[in-house]
Amino acid sequence: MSTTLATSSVSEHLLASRELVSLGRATTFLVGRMRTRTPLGAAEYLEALSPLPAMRGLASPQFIGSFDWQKVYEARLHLAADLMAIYGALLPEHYARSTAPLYSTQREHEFYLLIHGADNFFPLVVDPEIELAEVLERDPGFCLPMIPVRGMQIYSWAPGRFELEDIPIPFQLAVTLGWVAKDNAAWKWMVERYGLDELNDFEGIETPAPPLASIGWTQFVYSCRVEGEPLKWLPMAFDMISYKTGNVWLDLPPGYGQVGFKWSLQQMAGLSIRWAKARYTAIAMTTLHNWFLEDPQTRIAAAIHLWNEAARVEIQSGLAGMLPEDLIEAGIGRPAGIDHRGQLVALPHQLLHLNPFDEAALLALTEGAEEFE
Amino acid sequence: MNAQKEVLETLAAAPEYVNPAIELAAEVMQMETRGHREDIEKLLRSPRVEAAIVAGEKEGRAVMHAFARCQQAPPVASQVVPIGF
Repeated sequence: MSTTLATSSVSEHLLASRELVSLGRATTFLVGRMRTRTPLGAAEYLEALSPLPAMRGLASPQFIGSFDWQKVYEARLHLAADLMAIYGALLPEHYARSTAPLYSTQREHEFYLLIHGADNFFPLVVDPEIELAEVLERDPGFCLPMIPVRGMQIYSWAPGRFELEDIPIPFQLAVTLGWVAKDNAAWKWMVERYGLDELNDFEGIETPAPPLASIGWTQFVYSCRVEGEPLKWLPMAFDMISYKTGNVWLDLPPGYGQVGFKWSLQQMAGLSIRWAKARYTAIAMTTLHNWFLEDPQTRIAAAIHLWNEAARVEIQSGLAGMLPEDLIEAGIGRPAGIDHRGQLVALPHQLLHLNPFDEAALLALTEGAEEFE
Repeated sequence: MNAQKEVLETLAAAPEYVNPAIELAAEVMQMETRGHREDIEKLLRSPRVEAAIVAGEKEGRAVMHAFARCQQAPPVASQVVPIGF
């Protein structure tokens, strides 16, 4: 039986179960006592003790005994303790000024809204259609058992789920260069759309080389970086359409729903940094798009030139078409898809096999996260 | 000013009251400390529990809604100078 809800004599109970004497247990006990000082907290405590299923919104008696409500209640107390510890550490002034009772649901809501509205954290999106404040107002007992994370990319990069003409130019280039189409339709569309056939005294632009493998891709990324801003951001568009940026805010496809991360200071810090990086990336993509728009013919031609140069380097290297795993086998490269910084790298060839709804791939991306309803 | 006074007077005149959920929870905890396990089980089977839970949730919602309304209300300058200013 839980220590929080123990109904036997406290001393007898503790003597009989010495493993219950711990800081964690004591914290839960005290948090439980604090929460019962509010009407919602007291109702929650009585609900956990009571055997009546109707009180928990379960219509059928078949659910009696299905859940260990005392364990559910203990988990809720742990959550309250964790949330308040994070609130106090991240926003000490707000925490000190708060008039909401300690460990109460009201103080938790206050914390959610502060995180949601602060520039240096990230939005807590429970339902994309409803504002968080409205969610909290509708359900005063609402709690977030985990940190909800949803992908911030606007477009779904599954083939057939977007129109080429609707997406920004960096993504048009990434799709055109990274994906192989039998009739090269995407490239033909770009030539027509941006008048690329009028370049070089109407001789037209050079046709882009097929998707690059390891050596060519490394060369392309390097060349873009050497070009400086904003072209250095072009490889990121490839990473984004393959959901392989290594940033969970960018790597969860729209429509996938959300994943949950455990509430902790480490996760808060990690997700905040990744959110800032994702926002920076979104701005970078807009800047790059605008840069292409200023002189699309010349600038798209410049990007294609870098691509084709990288293809030539790959052929000259004698390792044409070799993917990272091939290089590993040959004793040349690093583990597949990992760059020198240990980050995931998108390879255009791999985009061909991309399935954004591949559960295993998504699980790998969201390591440390859990499914979240 | 009158409205402000009226609100304060209403609050001051409100009867002292403890929500049934808080009262019952405190009662259960006291029994728990004294080791009256059977009494707790008897109490938890009584209709008081359901009524207390309903009352607790109702008041909890009312407090949260009142809090939200206060936050949405437009600020009004106080007639009283705060201490220290």
